[in-house]
Amino acid sequence: MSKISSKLKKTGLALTTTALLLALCLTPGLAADKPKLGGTITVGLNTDLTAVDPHTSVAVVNAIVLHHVFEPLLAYGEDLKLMPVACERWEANKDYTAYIFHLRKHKLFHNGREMVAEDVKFSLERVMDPKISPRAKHFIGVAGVEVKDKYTVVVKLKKPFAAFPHLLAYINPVIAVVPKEELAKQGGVFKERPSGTGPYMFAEWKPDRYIILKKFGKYTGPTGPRNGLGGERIAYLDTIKLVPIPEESVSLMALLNKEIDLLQYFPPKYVEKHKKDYAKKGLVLNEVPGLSWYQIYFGVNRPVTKNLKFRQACAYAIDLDKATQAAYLGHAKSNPSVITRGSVYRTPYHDTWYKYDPVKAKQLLKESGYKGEPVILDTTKKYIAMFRQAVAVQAALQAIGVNVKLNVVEWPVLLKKCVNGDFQMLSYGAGGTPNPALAYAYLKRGGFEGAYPEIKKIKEAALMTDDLQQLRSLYEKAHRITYEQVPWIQLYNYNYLQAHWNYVKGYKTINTGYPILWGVWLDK
Amino acid sequence: MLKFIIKRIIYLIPTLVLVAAMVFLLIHLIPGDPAAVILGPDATAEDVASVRQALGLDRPLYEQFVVWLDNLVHGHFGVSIHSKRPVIESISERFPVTLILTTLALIFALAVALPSGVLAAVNHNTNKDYLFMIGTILGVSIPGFWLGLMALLVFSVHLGWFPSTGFVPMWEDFWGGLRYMILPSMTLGLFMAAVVARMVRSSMLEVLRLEYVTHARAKGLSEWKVITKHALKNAFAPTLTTIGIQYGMLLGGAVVTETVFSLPGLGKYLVVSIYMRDYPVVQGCILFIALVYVFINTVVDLLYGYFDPRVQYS
Repeated sequence: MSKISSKLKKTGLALTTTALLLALCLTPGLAADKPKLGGTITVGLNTDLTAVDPHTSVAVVNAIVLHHVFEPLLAYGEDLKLMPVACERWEANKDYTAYIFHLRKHKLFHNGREMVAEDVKFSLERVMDPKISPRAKHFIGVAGVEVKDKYTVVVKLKKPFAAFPHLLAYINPVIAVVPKEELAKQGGVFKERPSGTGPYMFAEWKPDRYIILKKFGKYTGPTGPRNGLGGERIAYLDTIKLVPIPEESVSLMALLNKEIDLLQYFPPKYVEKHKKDYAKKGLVLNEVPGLSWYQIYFGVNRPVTKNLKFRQACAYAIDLDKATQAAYLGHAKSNPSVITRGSVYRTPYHDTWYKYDPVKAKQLLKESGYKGEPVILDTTKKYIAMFRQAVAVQAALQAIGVNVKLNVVEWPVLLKKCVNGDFQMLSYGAGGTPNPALAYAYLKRGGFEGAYPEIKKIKEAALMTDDLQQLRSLYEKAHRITYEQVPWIQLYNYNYLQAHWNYVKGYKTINTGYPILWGVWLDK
Repeated sequence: MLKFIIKRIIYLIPTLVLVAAMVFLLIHLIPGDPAAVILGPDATAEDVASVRQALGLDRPLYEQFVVWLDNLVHGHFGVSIHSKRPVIESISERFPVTLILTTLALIFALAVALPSGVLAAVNHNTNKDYLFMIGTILGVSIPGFWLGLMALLVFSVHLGWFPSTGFVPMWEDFWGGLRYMILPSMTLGLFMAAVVARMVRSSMLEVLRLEYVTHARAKGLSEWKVITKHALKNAFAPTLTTIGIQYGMLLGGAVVTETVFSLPGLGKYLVVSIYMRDYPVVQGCILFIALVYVFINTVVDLLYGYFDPRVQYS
């Protein structure tokens, strides 16, 4: 009896196991969700690389590529919290004048050598060199970098700076750890074959044709679920091919032809077409609110725009939602604050702004003594949203009687005007600045910081603390000042639209809009 | 002829110096700052000043010009401000792409322009001629940008005959590379075809009225021989000038086609560099294009002698 029972038990177990295995194999969802190794993904970028050295350039496209090749000590998660990447953990002393970074052990560069504390010291000192790095001035507060032991680095600061770790997590450029010897081979600057510690190795760059990244088999890195630029970085794909296609209609044709598998910028005007047609063919469209923020600056020392009542009249005259709609065809969310929705630093107070009221706008305009003088609004067509929002603002202001004239210039000219504060009104936008203190630094533009030093004090106080409640309170104060003084009109954060075929698995669009390809596999 | 060539080379030197000076001045005079472009949107005025200093852009303009000219004399075109790569290296990578594109466009243009121009002249004031005129007006008027996109939509997306983007060098894979170049070269060549065809037509009309053509016919030569051997050869000399000018323009002006078809050519590189205010690249590219332009015109001048024996090179 017991033998029969045992046999039955064994047979039952075998049958159950077989049934379970069969069920697993036949359930498409489960089978498809299991990551597959290997393959090549082709990704369409909107422009080509301009440089391959992570420390020498701030072009977004360079950072997109180089985030796969290099690693910083820290990176931002999707919630804008800092996460360790090349280090395991970090800590600050009590007064925020020294930071200790404990590096990951046995982490290899692509040339096979282990990354050690000396490399971090070399890399940070390179970032601080103004001849090398455009971000050198941001690190001016660093007194020195010391190697405590093989895996421990201490960064000493000249004065307390609680926001220092944010500098190391810059989205662009990557504050990367680089191997000295590989740089030396290329004359001190990476020109063709950069080498880092990332999950992918830089294999080839044919300018204006493609960039090839290959899987780094000996990669070790952070653990835990993927979270923005933080968390685990598993390279499932063997090869990543990045193809620059500047013309957006052509990039869409290449996607539809399956010449590329994933498109970095899906043109908003084709979203409806996607819903009606492309989605049925298996094209997946991701839409994620982004960190980029777009605005109109006022030159607070310039004729006409130096008048507070004039600026307030403008604020009343502009319907943020309508301007947002005009600029991004509905794929953006109006936001009167520099702090992105969803950021841990944002409180309901940041929604405080002038409610669209043309009657009040006209009344304030009259009180300001404005007599119809022309007001120049500088913009560019390089980034079409900057142009569209300028047109929307021009129309809104003309409706209350402001004689706004658009001055459309090339991007380098607009940049120069912006940096020099040479404008009455300027239509502008910037990429993600997760630390609000660094975003409020933009108020230097147009001379506001000089005219209203209180904002500088708030910014500096925010850089001295990492207490969340204190930071929230400081940023509310900063928003109150911008609300009362109107040095700028923040318009919106736009959404990132990215598309890929349904055989691309594990891909997530993140709030920086950078296509990140670790954790991604192909199920063709 | 050798004397003529030497003379042209000697003339080339002041031409290039003049071009170099003009390019240098113009690119530095247009507003915008490479330092601001390098630093991006969140730079401060101090950051920009510091990068300008590092790049040597804070030095007086004449000093920068002398340094650049001195480097040129020693064969150095400079280094890109952004990529840090030698400019001549980038030009040598991209020029072959533009050369192939424009040469294929030229072949396409001549293949269309010569027979259609001759046919229109021979059938002057007939329906064939009117049809030709409409065709050439369309060829001149259709924007290359629109034509390129339409060609991609039809032949790439709907018919799937050609890839919509990418480039394979023809010196690595001839037939594979040709597939990538057919649509761009036809798009680029259409405008040239229209211009050259109109020139062929008007030159042929002039020549066909001349007495030696009537004489050739009176000798009993076939119409084919009269047209191809006697009329076309003489009508081709003025057309050659147009071809030379057009070909030179294509080399510098293929940028729209290169952008639409994502080709890694020199024109696109130049325009992107102008946007980024990459002074060494812009200066190097324009100087190089000027050099090629002068070379093409010298070749055209030399070919003149073949088509019109009255031309003397002394």
